[in-house]
Amino acid sequence: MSCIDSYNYEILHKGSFKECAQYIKDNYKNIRNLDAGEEVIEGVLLIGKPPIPVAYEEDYVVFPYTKPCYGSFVLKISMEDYLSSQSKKEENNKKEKQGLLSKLKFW
Amino acid sequence: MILLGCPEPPVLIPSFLYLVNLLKNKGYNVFVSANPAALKLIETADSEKYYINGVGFQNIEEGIKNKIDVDKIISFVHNDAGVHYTITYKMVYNTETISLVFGRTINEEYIKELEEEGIKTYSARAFHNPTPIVVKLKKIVNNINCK
Repeated sequence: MSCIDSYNYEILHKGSFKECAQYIKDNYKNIRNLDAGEEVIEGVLLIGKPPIPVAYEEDYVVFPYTKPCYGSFVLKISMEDYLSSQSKKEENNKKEKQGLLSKLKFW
Repeated sequence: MILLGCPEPPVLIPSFLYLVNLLKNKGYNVFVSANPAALKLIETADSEKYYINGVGFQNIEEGIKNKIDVDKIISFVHNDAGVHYTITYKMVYNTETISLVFGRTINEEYIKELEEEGIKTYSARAFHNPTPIVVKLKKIVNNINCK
């Protein structure tokens, strides 16, 4: 289970990474440009060609997220959802604890 | 490290196994970061683990968080997501990255975006027939020089 699935998110837009980045730039004012691999919220790292626009508003965060088969999306996670996701996340962490001993597996 | 995204094109998994074999024959340790569907296809294609024996593997999303020590990254790219995962891996691992852009048609935009980030890019027009990819993989492996 990928980390983004631990959160309750809203999909605002779907398209290429470029289109998603443009969507954020066009629709939000409070934008910070971050690098690929930076953590946008706990456990979720940014994927894409920098500068990656991330909109931080008072009670939510909006950022582009890319899945290998499904393409890029603009996701919105509200603070309320973020907090309620924490209990869901803790449960998942408990389940996944076994796998933490060996991050990389070998065939 | 070999990077595999969405395994939709039929040439992807056979080409991956071909590359693993080339690298192992040259004495390299091979890791793969791939999406779960690609990992499943690899395990099915080589169920006796003839080619993939000793190859380390991880989920493509986990690989961004759990950085391991690698000399080079070779990435198969056939869609927009592949371009952006490759760029992200290059930034996170901070190591030389080579990409092979392939597909029914070659999207020049993908090549431009990768090269702008300092990623050496090869291309091969291939979807069902792996021969153009095999030619490029031999070239890539002949040109790499790991410690």
